[in-house]
Order: sequence, then structure tokens, then C-alpha cells
Amino acid sequence: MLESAIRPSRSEEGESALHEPRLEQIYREHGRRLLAIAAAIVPRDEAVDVLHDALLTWWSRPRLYDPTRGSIGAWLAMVVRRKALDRRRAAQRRVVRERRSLEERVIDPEDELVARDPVEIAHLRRSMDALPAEQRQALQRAYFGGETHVEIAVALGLPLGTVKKRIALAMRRLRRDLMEGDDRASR
Amino acid sequence: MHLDERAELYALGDLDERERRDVERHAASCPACAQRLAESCETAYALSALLPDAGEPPGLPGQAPARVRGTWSALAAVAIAAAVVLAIVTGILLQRLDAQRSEIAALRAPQIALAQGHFAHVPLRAQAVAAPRGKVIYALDRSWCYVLIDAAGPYQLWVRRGGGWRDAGTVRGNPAYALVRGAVEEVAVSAPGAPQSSALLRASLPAVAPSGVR
Ligand SMILES: [Zn+2]
Repeated sequence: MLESAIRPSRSEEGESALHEPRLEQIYREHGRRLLAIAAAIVPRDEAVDVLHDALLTWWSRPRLYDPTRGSIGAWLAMVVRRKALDRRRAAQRRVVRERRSLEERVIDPEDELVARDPVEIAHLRRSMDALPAEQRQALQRAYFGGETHVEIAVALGLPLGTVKKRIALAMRRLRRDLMEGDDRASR
Repeated sequence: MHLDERAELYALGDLDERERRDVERHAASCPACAQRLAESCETAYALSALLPDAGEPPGLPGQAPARVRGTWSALAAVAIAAAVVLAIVTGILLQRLDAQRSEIAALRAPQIALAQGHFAHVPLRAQAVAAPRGKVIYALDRSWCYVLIDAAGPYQLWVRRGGGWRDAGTVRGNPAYALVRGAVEEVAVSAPGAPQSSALLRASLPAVAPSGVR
């Protein structure tokens, strides 16, 4: 009801910069996930700012999102990660921050996870565990530790190209796994 | 040349500006790579299931007032759309919008179009021990700014444009917020009736976006 109430009339606004304000709905559906994604990279209060930045970016320039490139949630997740990494890089330039140790950044299985569905969690965990160790390590540092591929290369003393390749291979393997999972579920 | 590892790094937000544009340009003309990009983004998003929960994001707006429907002009609808953003930013109820006075006015369509997504936010810096938290979100083209105070109003809002400070009206709501149209260089918030010189909160709005905001 809110949606229809706030959509501007086309005749008055033409194809203006205004979006169809599904903002509230998107925030409800994806906000918690997106916040967790940002909070893996920057402290939580900054993660809230990052989330708002990403939503305002879409709100004011909705055409940045192209629906043929996947779901709005996935697109916003990419924007959130980009803004969070930008912000962390900027903060690191200002002050040398005390970095959390790698041990702390490894996901504790006892942590409350953002997902609530045990099947989804188990499936993803199995896929992560099935990755070759060096691919898993690279993806873990990039995704859960919020490090850039450049930082990982420096930390592990590896060439940039090697780190990029490991991250990409890990993601592709997960993607295959997830798609197979979807096939099984829909059969 | 097709996308290589850049498809995955793009999905992780881990490309610089130039690489990112290259990726987007290529995907716009190559369906196979566009598909791969979409799948990479979906995979990255799916992985978020394993992240530690950071809690509910703040400021989910409450119920919209029922009278909005059908009785407001398209222009008011635009103002409400702006208020939804505000509500999401600070958790304000929509009906506060009509409490705005004087220079504090509803955002109008041309200004939204002008804003074109070039905005930034700066914290309001506390000038007193008991000052509440707050921030200013503003368009880099100076067509508008939101002043958001994480406490119940009323507060007195002051804005500086060019030379002098001006009384911009009362900020109400809980949390208190106001939308100010036009160029603003500096914002001050004081207790009701108190002068600008004894402001509780201040922020200057730099012309260049703080790094990391685009
Ligand atoms: Zn291609």
C-alpha cells in the first residue's frame, strides 16, 4: 500500500530520476543480510552508514541497477561490499588501525549466523569445506575477513594473479554447487 | 576480451573504479559475461548466509499513515518518497513530514532529479557533553540537506549560507529531523530559544565528498 501511495505519476514526472520506491520492502527483505556483509568489513556503526549509502545510491539513481544482472539483493550486496572496502581503505590511509587477528576473523561455528535456515547453512558449509584448502583460505579472507585481493597477496606472500585466481576458482565452484542445489530442490 | 577473474572480484566489490567500468562496459555487450557476472553476484550474496549476524538494521519505518492514500498530490507523493528515505535513515514516522516549517520544506521533484545520487554524509559534532548524536546527509550539488538528530525534538536549527547564520526553524520529531532546501555551508543545532553561538551540534558540509563516498 505504501508502494502505490508514493509512486509519482508518470505524466507529472516523466521518466525522472525517481524510482518506484520499493526501498522499504528491499530494506525489510535484504537489510539484515546487507548489514552483516558490511559488518564483515567495517565496524558495525560504520556498516549502518555503508548500508544507507548503498540504499540511497540506488534510490537516487535506480538505473544503476540492471535487472538482467541478477537480483536486487545480489546487486546491493556488491555495492555494499564495494563501499565498505572503500571506506576501510580510506580509514587505513588516515590511521594505522589495529587489525583484528586472522584467528578472530575466522568464523566461529558457535556464532549466531545471519541465515536461519539450517538446510541453507549446511549446504553452504559443505560447499566451503569441499573447496581445495588454498582456495578456501583465499575466499575466507576475502569474504569473511573483508580483505582485498591485494591485502591477501601481501599477507600470504603470493603473486596478485595467484590470489585472484584462487578467489575466482572458489567462487565458481560454489556457484556450480549452489546451482546444482537449486536444481535438486526444484525437481 | 571476455571477463576473467574480474567477474568474481567485481561481485566482491574488489575492483578499482576503472576496472569496474571496464567490466560493466564489457558485460553490456556480451550476454555470456553478463550472465556470469549475475551468477557471481548471486553467489557472493548467497555466501552471506554464513556471516555472523550483525542484528536488525536500525530505523525500519513504522506504519505509514493511512491518509496518504489517494489524497495527496503527486508532488506530495514525492515528498513522502523522500520521507521514506529519511524514515529508513533514522526510523522516523512518515506523518512528521507535515510538521516542517519555514525554510524546512518538502523536497520537490526537480531537486530530487538534480541531486542525481551525488550525496554525502557528515556527523554532527557534539559541542556539549549532553549533546545528542546526529548527522547531515546532503546533496553535493547543494540542492538539499537532511539534518537528523538521534533524540526527541524540538531543537533550533541554524544554517549558514555565504556570510551569515540564519534561523532555519524548529526541528521536531523523535528522532528529530528536518529537510533544508538550497545551498548550506554549515549547520548548527541548539536548544529551543538558544542562540547559534551556544549550539549543541555543528557540522560543516565540505564541497568535496569525503573519501569512500560516491
Ligand atoms: Zn564476454
